[in-house]
Amino acid sequence: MLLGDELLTDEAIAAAIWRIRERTEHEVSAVFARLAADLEAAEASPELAALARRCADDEVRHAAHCRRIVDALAPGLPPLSPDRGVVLGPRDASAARRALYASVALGCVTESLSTALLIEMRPHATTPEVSEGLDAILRDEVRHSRLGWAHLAIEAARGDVSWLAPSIPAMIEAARAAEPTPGGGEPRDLRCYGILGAGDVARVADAVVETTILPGLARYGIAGAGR
Amino acid sequence: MDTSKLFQVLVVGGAMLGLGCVDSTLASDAGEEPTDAVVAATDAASDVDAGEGTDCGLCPNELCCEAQPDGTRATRPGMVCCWGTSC
Repeated sequence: MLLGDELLTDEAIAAAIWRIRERTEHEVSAVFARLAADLEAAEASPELAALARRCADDEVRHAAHCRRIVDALAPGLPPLSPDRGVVLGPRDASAARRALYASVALGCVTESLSTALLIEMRPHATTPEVSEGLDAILRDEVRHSRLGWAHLAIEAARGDVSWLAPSIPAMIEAARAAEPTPGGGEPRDLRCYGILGAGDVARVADAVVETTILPGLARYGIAGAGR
Repeated sequence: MDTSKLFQVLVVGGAMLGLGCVDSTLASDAGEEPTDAVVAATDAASDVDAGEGTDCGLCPNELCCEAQPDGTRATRPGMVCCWGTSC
């Protein structure tokens, strides 16, 4: 996702990106809440269901962090309206399969990538609100990613999970595309605002896909999941 | 950024925590060795201020924690909870 306008200030572009992140956090919160409900319906693991509920709450807090950053950079910029109806996984699948699909898409793929990106962002962030927000979000993203890997480990120990393999490339592509980056004319260095350039995002994404996501999935027989 | 630790932190750490939620048969079938994973997780997560009192939502579990003679629980030898929680 590219965003930018050469007529805008760096602060305005950064605020716009953090506003998108704010909306995304609310949407992901809804997905985690749905995952929790599916985990409960599938009676997969009460601990995982509870963790998914907590993740949903975490995401609301993340959105509040994003809002503080937006307010610091561009006071008065109103929030975007989130789409809370996002459903991951085949709509006609059982609750158990839909839950596993969501856990993998959200935890194993998206949150793993997010963790790597946040680790990359942190050293460059100099704006106080941004540093505070990145630290808070990163703490939680590790846990959110582990929810996915934990769920996958449980289900792989119970049976074959290779049915997920055809969906992995789309999951990875969606996760990569979800990270907003500055676009437009002259390249801008917005790293002090916790925003990486498109090149850096691609580099980090390539690395985490190759070293973490694909090997992790292959561990459970989800092989051949290319980008 | 060195992404090599993320596999241990996320994939192995997640697997250990997940398998701690289910019965020991599944855990042993999966062949997890509860030794390096959380240590590695700590190594990477030490770069993050985990704050106080947070927990991963999956504690306590038998893979990570064990009972002490005084009745309390603590992390198993060689393991450090990356979130700084107590068992």
